[in-house]
Amino acid sequence: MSDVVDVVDAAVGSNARVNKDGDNLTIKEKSVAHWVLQSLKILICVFLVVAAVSSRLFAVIKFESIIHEFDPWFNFRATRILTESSFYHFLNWFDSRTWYPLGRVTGGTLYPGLMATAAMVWHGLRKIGLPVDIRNICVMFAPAFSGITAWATYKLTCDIKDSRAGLLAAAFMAIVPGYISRSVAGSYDNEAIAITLLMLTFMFWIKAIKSGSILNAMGAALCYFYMVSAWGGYVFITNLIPFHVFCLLLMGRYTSRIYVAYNTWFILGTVASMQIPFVGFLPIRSNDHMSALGVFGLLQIVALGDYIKNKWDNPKRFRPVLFVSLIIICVLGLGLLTLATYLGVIAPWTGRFYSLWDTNYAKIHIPIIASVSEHQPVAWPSFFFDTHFLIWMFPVGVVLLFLELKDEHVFIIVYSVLCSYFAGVMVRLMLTLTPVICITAAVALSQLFDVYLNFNDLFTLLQNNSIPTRPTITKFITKLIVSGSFIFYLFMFVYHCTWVTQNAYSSPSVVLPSSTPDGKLSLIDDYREAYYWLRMNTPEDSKVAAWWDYGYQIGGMADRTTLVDNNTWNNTHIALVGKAMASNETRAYEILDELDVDYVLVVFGGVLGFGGDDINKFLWMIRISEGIWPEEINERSFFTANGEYKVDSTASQTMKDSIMYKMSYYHFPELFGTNGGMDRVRQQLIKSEDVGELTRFHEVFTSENWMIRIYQLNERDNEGRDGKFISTPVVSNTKASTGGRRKRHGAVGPSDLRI
Amino acid sequence: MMFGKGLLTGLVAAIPIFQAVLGQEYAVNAAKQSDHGIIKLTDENFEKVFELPNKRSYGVAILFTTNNMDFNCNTCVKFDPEFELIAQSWLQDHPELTSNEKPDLQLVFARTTIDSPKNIPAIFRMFKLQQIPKLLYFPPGDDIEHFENIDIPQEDGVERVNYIVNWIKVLTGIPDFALHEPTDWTSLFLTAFIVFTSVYLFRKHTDLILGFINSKWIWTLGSVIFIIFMISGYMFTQMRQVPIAGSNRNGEIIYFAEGEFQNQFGIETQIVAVFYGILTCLTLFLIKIVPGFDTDATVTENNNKPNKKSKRKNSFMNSPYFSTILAVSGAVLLYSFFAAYTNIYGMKQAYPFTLFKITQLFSH
Repeated sequence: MSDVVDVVDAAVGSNARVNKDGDNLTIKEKSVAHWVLQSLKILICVFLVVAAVSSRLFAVIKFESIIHEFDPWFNFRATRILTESSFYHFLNWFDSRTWYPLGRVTGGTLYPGLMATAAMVWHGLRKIGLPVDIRNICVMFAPAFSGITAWATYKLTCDIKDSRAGLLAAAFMAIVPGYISRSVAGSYDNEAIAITLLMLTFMFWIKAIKSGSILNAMGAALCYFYMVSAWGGYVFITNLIPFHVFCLLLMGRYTSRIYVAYNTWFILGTVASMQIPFVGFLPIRSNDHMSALGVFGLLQIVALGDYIKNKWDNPKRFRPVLFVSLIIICVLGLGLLTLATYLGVIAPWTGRFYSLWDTNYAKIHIPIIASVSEHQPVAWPSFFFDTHFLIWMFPVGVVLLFLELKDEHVFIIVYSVLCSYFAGVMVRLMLTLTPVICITAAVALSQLFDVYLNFNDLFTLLQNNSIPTRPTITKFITKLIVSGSFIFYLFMFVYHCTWVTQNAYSSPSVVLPSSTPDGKLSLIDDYREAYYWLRMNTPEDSKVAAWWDYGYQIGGMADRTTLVDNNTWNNTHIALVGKAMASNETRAYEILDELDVDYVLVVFGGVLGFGGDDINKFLWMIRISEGIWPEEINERSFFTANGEYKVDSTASQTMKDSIMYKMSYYHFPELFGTNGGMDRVRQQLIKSEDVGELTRFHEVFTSENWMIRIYQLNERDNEGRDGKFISTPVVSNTKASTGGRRKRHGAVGPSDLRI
Repeated sequence: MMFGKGLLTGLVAAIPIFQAVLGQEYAVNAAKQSDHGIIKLTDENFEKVFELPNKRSYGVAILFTTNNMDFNCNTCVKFDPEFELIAQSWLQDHPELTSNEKPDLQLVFARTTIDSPKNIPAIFRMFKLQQIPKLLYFPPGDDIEHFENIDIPQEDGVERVNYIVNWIKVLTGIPDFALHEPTDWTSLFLTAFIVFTSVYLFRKHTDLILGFINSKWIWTLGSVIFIIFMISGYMFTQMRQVPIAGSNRNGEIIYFAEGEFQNQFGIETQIVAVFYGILTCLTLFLIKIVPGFDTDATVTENNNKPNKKSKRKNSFMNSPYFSTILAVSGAVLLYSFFAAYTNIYGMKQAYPFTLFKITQLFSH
């Protein structure tokens, strides 16, 4: 990757030189220079795409070609269903294997763009005789699209400054960790394609604003439609483009170019976006989209006013007309908006949108949103971690854009200001801030290089065979020092990006890296072990109760029916599972039995020291279910008298009675001998008398490092009494005879988790 | 004789009842007469308030706190008015401190404070309190062994008050406990005043203010400062209500939460923002200002301003070495600040690419 930066630097230099000397060259020399420049640009772009793709392959090299995390597993499963059936069947897909017994109208509640694209690629490759496994297409999907993103960023920045800045921006975009975090190989998520489409939409939009061309505005509308079909974050574009136009109008920069570009984009984009089943009539009803509609109306009025003003012979008499009509329009518009909201024609603001503006809203009203770690605010180190030195080039670029302040610069400025706020509030929105950081930093850096990598006078002197004077040499050295220091930062940037990508963003989180005591890399593969066990050892229609985090994975890897999953559309159902986990055995059995559950799956990190386990997520389960059943579940009763969240002997009785506690620690102390076992996550001693016995559930499987534990509900006897009366559980499979638990071999020793 | 004995028995039996009534009178009366309906609990009136050794018929919620600044207890100071609000709301709806819906339930609020670090009341030791502020609830009964700890959340505001009122409702079983927030006249007046002043100023100096609003520099500065604060974790400090700085085991103040990548103190935002500001200014200095001093007009086509150059009379500033000195010192300063920044970052996370600090050359 470092060679790419070299090439960019060389291009910047040569580019500047050729431009400068262009006047003195003959036509033939000019065409040669042009040809060299073009091929250089193409070569650099190709290198950038290679760099972008290859730096995202760490995950595949270190682990294997595997789908990562949670949401991608659902996307993968949906894509597989799409390739196995037709597109219309896919849109009508009702999934009875999740949200049992409710099911989910999946086809109408997902953004199909990602799956449709992957399926298209799959079909296309088959047509030309390359039958690639759909899994490999899904795994390599994000890296491939990141190459396109780099190209779109290049085009976009070309319109903001010039091709020199464009190449730099594309180079940044190709390897910046803030974007890699969501687009490594295997991270088959909506964001992987969405950022590409975001940049494409913006690229067309800037072109449209600059030229007033309907074709470019149509391009923006089409990309916008594609974006709507792929990611819920399209609302960002829906609000940013109108806001840009609004700012231009406020600055008194109304032109017919803006009129043409915006109207084309808005009408085509809105009509197209309504074709997505999940979006439907939202664009004209939801308040999130109101700003686009409002600016559309405003633009018509401004255009009319502009027309009348041009026809009027006396501009002074126009002012009162303008004033009165403005007031009338404002009052009328506000009144209509209030009335429509009051009558329920317009949907109220969505909760997720609220939580962006009122930062305490989510914590109070929607614990399920607050419980998602992606929705947490960002401390300052993350910004540097994700962008290295670009983070302080970012404000520099904004200042430089302010100095010129063309129409397209207003767009980048608006984008920077808004998005830096959003990224500070919600960590996942770092992803939308990263492109604009790359663009502005590239603008700043290329301006710096315009000054300090410009060696024209020296070359002119050398061409004339004259001896350079002392001031010229001094100047040359000065330029070398300044530009050299920035090239050094660029090198550090490349090292930093590689390091971050390698260490932080390439873990699939399905397989966890760890090291043995002698320092060798070993993989902790408990998730797949457990899911595979479920797939092979349980009846195909069995229902597995687990916290919603694991819903998609169980559906995708184990192919078993789940109660709740990561598509958190039904808060009550999630709360029901949380309630079962927090209740004592008798009550939990009742709840789970009513829900037809066969197996309960818990994730336990106490043996390994894995912090993201269910005991640590337990408080959220309690909080969410307390929100629905405050009389049954009480957060307070899970704390000790001193108000601490503990799991050792001092834990409250409610805590010890809950099945989550029992299932996590069942037979855990015996693993370490008679004195009790030390929970390595919470550093607390668990004693066997605290855990007690399970009477209505029995253990069927525990993975190698005890990370996943699966329990089966005891069947009711033929008189309908619950499982307590059945003395010994009937376990048929081989592994489960001692509860499927495996003793850890003392010789190997505990492996340490490294995340 | 028989009658006398009966009378005596009756009297003996009546004593506790009397005591109970009198004692109750004491607590309820004391509460009613105190400010906000909060009894000031001391070592002296402790037994009376708790009505020891008899069975008390009311629950007591006691706040253990301090108003002494030596303790540096921020939460104590902020929670005090909120506690007063809770007690005041209770007194306002229930002048007899008895629940209207369930007349057998009574609740009394009390507060005990440490006035100076040397003189800590015995009550604090009695309950083995490790930290303040602490809100304990003692249900009706005759012992002081059984009490509940009411958790006081870190973040102040209406949510915390509501949270505590809900806890009290759960613990006491009193259904009718509503919060009465007093109308905040100060903020109302302040808002009205600001609106009035701004409208007046706008009418009077329309041109000036419009010029101010239309000024590109104001917007540039505003946007950049906003961005710099946002990327320095300002929203994190606001949403998590982090302390401004921390202290280590020896009680020394520390400004950086070392090794905590996803956490920070309030002051870190300010330090980092200053760093970003300096780095931004230096880069702008290199891009925009240094070329202006360049004597060779052909070098920078965009940035040189010939009319400016003629104004410079100073021979040194005209010399070709002046811009060199500016550029090199700018680059060196930039490097040193960036190196310092990466070293600060190295405190937050094990980071292999911290730059070499120039100051280290001289420290050996």
